[in-house]
Parts: sequence; C-alpha cells; structure tokens
Amino acid sequence: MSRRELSKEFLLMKKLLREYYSKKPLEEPIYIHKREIAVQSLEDGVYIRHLSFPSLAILYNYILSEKTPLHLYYSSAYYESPSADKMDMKGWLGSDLIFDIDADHYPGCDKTLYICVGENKAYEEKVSQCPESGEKPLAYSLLSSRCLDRAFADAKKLYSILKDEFGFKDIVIYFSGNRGFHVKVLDEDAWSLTSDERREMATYISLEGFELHRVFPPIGKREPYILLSQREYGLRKRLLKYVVEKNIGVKTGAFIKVPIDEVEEIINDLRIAIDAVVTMDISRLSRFGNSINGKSGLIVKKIDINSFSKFNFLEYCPWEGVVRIKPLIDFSGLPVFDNVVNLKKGLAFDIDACLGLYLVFKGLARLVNIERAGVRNV
Amino acid sequence: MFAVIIDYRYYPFLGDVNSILRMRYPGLRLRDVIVSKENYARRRSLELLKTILSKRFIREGTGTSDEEIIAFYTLLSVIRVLNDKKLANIVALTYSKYAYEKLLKEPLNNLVHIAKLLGINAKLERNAPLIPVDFKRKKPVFIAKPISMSFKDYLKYTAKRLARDPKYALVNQIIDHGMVFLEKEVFVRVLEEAIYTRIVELYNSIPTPELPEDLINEAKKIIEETGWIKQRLMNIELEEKAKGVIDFSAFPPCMSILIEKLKAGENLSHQERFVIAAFLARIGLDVDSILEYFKNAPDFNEKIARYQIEHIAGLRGSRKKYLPYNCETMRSLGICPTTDYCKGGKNPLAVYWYNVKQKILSKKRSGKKNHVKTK
Repeated sequence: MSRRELSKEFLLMKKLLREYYSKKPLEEPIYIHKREIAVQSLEDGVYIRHLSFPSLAILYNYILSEKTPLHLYYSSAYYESPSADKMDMKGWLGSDLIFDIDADHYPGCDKTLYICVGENKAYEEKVSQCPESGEKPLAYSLLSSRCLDRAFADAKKLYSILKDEFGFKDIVIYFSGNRGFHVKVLDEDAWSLTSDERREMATYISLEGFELHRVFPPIGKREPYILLSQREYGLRKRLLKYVVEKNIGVKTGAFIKVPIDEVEEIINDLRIAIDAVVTMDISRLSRFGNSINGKSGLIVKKIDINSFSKFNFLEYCPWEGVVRIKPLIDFSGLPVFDNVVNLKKGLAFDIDACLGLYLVFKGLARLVNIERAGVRNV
Repeated sequence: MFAVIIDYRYYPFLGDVNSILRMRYPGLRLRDVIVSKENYARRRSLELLKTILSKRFIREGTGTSDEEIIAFYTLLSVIRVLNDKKLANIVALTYSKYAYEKLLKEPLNNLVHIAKLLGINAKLERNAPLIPVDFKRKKPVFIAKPISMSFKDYLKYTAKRLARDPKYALVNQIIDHGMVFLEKEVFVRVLEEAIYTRIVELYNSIPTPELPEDLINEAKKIIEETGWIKQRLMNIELEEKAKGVIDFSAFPPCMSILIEKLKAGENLSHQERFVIAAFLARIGLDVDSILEYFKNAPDFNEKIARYQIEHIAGLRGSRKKYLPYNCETMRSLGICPTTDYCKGGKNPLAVYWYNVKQKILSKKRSGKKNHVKTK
C-alpha cells in the first residue's frame, strides 16, 4: 500500500466516493459493452484506460471494490474491441456527436487565480511556474453562476440548432461538473459522421469562416441592407426570429428591412463558441452521467432544458452536512461560485460539506473529518 | 409527373453494364463483345484512354447509350488489368469534370434523378427558400435555392476538400430540418464530387477482368506514347526520396534566412513566423518539430505557439492548410531581402520542390555519366 493510500485524507475521500457510488447513481450509456471505459483512480492518481465492461453491474463491482474513481469516463465511440490498447486495433464503429461549451470565455468570466500552495500566494496574472517554490500553480477559476447561466443559454441555443436545423431528435445537455456544459447528440444518424464532417458542423455552429454576403446578400450600395421575408430557413430564420423579438428593422410590405451593419452585429450574437477540437475528436472520452467530476466534487448531471432557470452549484453537490477541513493557504474572501469563504492556513474549521469538499477537490484544503457529513439522495 | 430522360452517353458511369450485356448480348461476357478490333466500344475505350491521358479531355462519342456504357466499362476494366489506381483517379476526375459541364445544362428534375442514381437523398423543394438579392421597381428580386439534400450527404462530398472553398463550406449554406438548400450550380458541383467517388468505387469493385490480350497491348502502347509511365515513375521516385526527409539545402534563400533567425533566437515579425510555419508544415514537418524551431523565440509560449501552428498546419479551425506567402508578397512585406529570391517558382514551396527535383535529376545524370566513364 502506498503512502498516499495510508493517509487519513485518502481514507476519508474513499469513504465518501464509495458511499456515493454504492447508491448506484450512474446513467448507463447505450451499448456500454462497445465502449472503452477509463478511470482516474483515487488509489494511484493515474488514468487507467482501455477497460471494457459487459454491463454496468460489473463496472460497479470494479469501482466499489478495486479502484475508486476520481474521474470516470466512457468513450463517445463504439468499438469492435473496446479494450484493445492501440486505437487502430479497436475497430471504430461510430461515435456520439459531442459539443463542449465552457463558461470561462465570456467577458468577465475568464478570471483565474494561480495559487502557489508552497508559497502561500495567489497570482492574478498567469504564472506557469511559481516564482519562489518552482512548483506548478493550481489554477482556480473565479466563475460566477452568471457565467454558467450564459453558457447554458448558449447550450440551449445549440440544442435548438441541432434540432431545428440539423434535424436531430435525441439531444441531451449535461453540466460538466466543473466549468461548462456538454451537449450530446445520441441519434444513430450522427454516429457515422467523420471527423471532417463534424468539423464542418462545428464551424456552422460557431460561424467560423462565415461570409455574410453568401447567406445575406446586401441590397443597395450607399446604405446596404437585407430583406427578410415571412418564410425563412436556417440561419436566416434564426436572424428573423431575433429581429422580430427585439423589434429591429423596418417593415417594408411583406418584408423586414435590416441595415447590413446591424445584421453583422446580430450575427456576432448568434455565434456559439464551442471547442471544435472536442467535436472533431471521434474517440473522445466523455464523463458518465451522474459521476463525480474529481476537479470539483460536483455531479455530472443531465439538465432538463425546460426546468432549468438559474445555475446553483448546490443542485450539483452530492454531499450534505458539515465537514472539517484544513486550508493549505491563507485567503480571505475566496469566491466559490456565489459564496465567499475565508481560509487560514493550517487552521482547521467546520464548513458546509458542499463548499468544504469543493475546496478539497480543488486542492486548496485537506479533508480532516467527515463524521457529520454524508451523501445526499440525488 | 415529369418525364425524366437521362442521356447515358454523357453519364456512362450511371449505367449497369451487366444488364446491358444480358439484354443485348445474352450469354456473352464483356471480352466476347469487344473481341473484334472493329467494335465501337473497344475503339472508343482506347480513344478515351488517349485523350484523357494526353489532354484530360473527353470528346463526345458517336455511339448509342449502350455502346458508350460498354466503352466506359471497357476503359475501367483495362486500367484494372493494368492495376493503375492513379490512372483510374485521372479517369474519374476527367469524367466528373466532363459530367459537370453536361449537368449544368440539365433541368432540375433530371439532376435530382441523377443524384438518386448516385445514392444521394435530394429533392426538389416546392417551397424553396427565396433570397432577396435586389430591389427593382418596388419589387424584390430573388435567387432560389430549389434543391435540397440531406446535410449528411452534403458533408460526405464536401467536408474533405470542397469545404475549404467558402462557397461550399457548410457555414455558408442554408440548413433546415436536416436538409441543405442549394442553388443549381452548387448542387451540380456536389454531384461532380459524387461522380468522382462513384467512378473510383466502380474501379475498386471490378474483379480483375479477362480482356483480349491485344486490347491490353494496344492500351499499353497508348500509355507509352503519352509518356504516362515515365512521368509516373519519376513522380514515384521523387515522392519516395522526399518522403520524411527534409532537405535543408533545397530551401529557398528566404526560408533559410528565417530558419537561421529562429535558431539564433531573433524576434521574428508575425508575418515571418506565419510564413516559416506554413512552409515547414507544407513540406511535411510535424507540429512538434516545427515548435522546436520556435522554442528559441524570446516571447515563446508553448500553448499559444502550438495552437497557432496547429491552425496553420490545418489541424484546427477551418482545417485549411495554409500556404506560405508568394515570393512577390514576401518581397513587398520586406520579409525577403535577397535578390535571387524565387528561382523555380512563384511560391517558396514550389521553389523547394523544384530544387529537390533538380537535385535528384542531377544526381541521376552524374550517376549515368560515371557509368559511361567506367566503361
């Protein structure tokens, strides 16, 4: 047994994670036996890849008795032999279509603290190496719930595009458990799309390489404008909806006349920033629904698009009660989503389990006591 | 209902040669039908081979539809016997371009029918999107996008190559309920791609056929006359020799200067960085190797540099593999302060390949000379 495994914190974390997974919360992806499963385990901190399980029950056996998952993934791809350790030996059969929307690229959402635990210092500017101790700093994103609300609004827009424009039917949105949302298309129709084809879809959504005149030919030379009719399709329909909702443009008979510079601005609003590399990757690992994201201790949770109103991180927290933690740094007023906590290095204190474990999973505090904490029924 | 009449003389790859043989020549195989030197299909297939190889050109045939289909299959079968995939690609390319011109003149319902024969899910839209492009005499003037095809089929034929042209990129199309709405010309261009693919597939699916030996010999003679094999061997040799080998001595002077500057840790301008990265990516260096050169830059940031190089190398974003600037552009940007900047081509890349080729050729020549001497 390694030193890591003998530490008290390790045992407490293991107890909590096992308790969570013993409630069998995981969502079973279709054709689980055709997917590669990967675990980053608490026991050895490394990725264990190329696993394959014939059923969810056998996966539970593994994670409840052998390796406790800090992160738990399945491949978005279906393989002939999911456990082959060389990608080209797996026999790719198809892959779900995935989009990744991160909340940290919106204005005011990109602030990150670079925390050097050894130096007991936090830097607001990016440092790749701590100047005094030489260690790698912890990146702590200062995301507010507002940023996640914006990301969700984009996820919802993406959902509509996939449904109305691409004609997909089986689309789900997940909170990633950390900084954003994953939108997954499960339609069988999408499985066979090649990487190049997925890239084209991604650029359609982010409007990268979009040339205005091809979809919105300008009319008139001095003050160019476009005309929208009542019956529009695709991106033109999206623009029409926007214009009608916000009362932009001038009615001209059966048409709406919109100045071209306004069209350009609206187009910027219709762009959805997604990470194209994620979408193009046809053998990407994807987190299990209802697994815990080891970067935050929060649940990767499917979102009901109709009932979501505002992001509240507590809804994704699997813990209840109070934990005792020992901060590794001094920091007064550290934001945790919309809450603020004060940390005194080395001074253990009791804190709400959701906030406390968030700091522990972020690496800013040690877990000391969980006697009054447990796993919620989620 | 529209009457759809497809002229197979223009599109012989759509025809089913086996059913023609069954109907017209019951009991006979292809080789039996074309055994006579006077047979039209046989003569036509050799003529096609000749004009395609020498001029990438197809002269209109004078045969019936059936004869043209048999001629086309004879041509593919001959190439199959010779087992020359590159030649098959050229036939596919020439035929698809030929078909493009003919398709532009077809009525829309014919196009949709041809698309179906190619396995494409397309239809004529009753309520086609009309896009106002002008306003004259108080009335809008529209262009229509009357044909729709499933976006998956559209991507199948555009995502790899065609999409690099903004005209065909998905982002510049109208997509609704899983269908892409297209103007005639764009649709025809997509069909051209589908035809190319169809012919290559046909070639791959032909089992090595038995053909009259004298026909094969005649074909070989034509191939020899057009210099095809010589050119092919030369290219194969060049490709083999240049594979995985970066020949620094063949670098055009400007590129050598930039490489030296990078090695010396000089601060290159944005344009200089772009040009050298694009150049290195195009001659076959991988991203990590390119990064190595940039590591000496004073403001080097691996994450940013990698991202940008991946972009330039076409691994990210629009997936467009960028070309380095042309020599003239570089000169006007002041990137290249030498005088003999572009011997052998307009672009540093062309210069590089020209230099590589010259070196191989001169080696060959001196090799021959040596041979003579020892005699």
